Amino acid sequence: METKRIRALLERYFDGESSLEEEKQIQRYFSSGEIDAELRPYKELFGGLDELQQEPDSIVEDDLMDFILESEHKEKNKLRYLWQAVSAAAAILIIALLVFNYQQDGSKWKDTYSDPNIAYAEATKTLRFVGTKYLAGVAQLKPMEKVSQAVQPLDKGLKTVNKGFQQVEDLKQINEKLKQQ
Amino acid sequence: MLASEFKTKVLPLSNKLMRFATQLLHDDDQARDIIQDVFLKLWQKKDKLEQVDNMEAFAMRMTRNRCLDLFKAKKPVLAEDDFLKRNATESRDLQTEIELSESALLIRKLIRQLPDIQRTVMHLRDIEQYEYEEIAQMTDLNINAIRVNLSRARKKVRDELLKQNDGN
Repeated sequence: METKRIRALLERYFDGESSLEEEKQIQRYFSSGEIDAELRPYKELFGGLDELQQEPDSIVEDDLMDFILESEHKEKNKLRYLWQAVSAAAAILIIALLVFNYQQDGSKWKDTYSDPNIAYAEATKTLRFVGTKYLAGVAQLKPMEKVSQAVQPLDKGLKTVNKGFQQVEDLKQINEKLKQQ
Repeated sequence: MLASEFKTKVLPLSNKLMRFATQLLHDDDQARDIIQDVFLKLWQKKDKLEQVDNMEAFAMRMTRNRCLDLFKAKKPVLAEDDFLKRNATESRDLQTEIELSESALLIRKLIRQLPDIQRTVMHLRDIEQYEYEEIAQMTDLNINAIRVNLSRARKKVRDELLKQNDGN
């Protein structure tokens, strides 16, 4: 009776029709000691599958978690380096652009006047204005003359000292010439 | 999603995903790389994971897509490199061989030899024991297509198994 039932289950199994519960019944039958001679050839298949189902674990969860955390750390570092490189490149680019712009501004003049006479008049007016400011500035420098007057005696003294040095230098040259002779 | 929630809801899926990726790729190292990658992505998106209604299907699907991407991008490797890698995986296989019986290893091998979709479906159903609806969410296949592929895969594994036993 049991053999007949198992044979029917096996048929369902090989047709892909059996449920998980039915497959468990088949396995239970083949792992029991009493197997009909007719069904014995299947013992190896179900015994083997049963063993494969209970195969011991090869991954240690803690190791896997360590791997995850370590890789994440490395990746973050990589990102940081990348970020630093990008910001450095951006800074260099900005500086280069600034320098380039600055130089361009110095060399390019735009003509804002269409009539050269008006331009000339405007230019003389501006230059005159600058000129008066310059003179006023120079006038304020007058007190400096007094300073130079005060320094004059010192200058004279220095001149005599310099003369003395000059003479010493001459004496040195004479001395060397004498040595060579 | 908080870090503590991530640890209780998402992280425990790692071994299922690892088994799945290993089944798809036949390569422990690559599978591990993919799992680490998938979990890193999930962690980085953990604020948005609240909106995912089936976390398990979502993660499985992500893993499957990564594996398929790898298939597509698979470039020819240098012969020497390949040799070193093969030696490395062989020694690792030896380690699991000690834990698994001969028939379990044979069945794993037979499942790995199946075409892509059949292999995926049979792994998800017969090893991870998902419902058809869940497998549909993970693979973008409809339930009928899953049944058809599963039936073909199971029959192929059975026939290969019987053939090998007859030979002995």
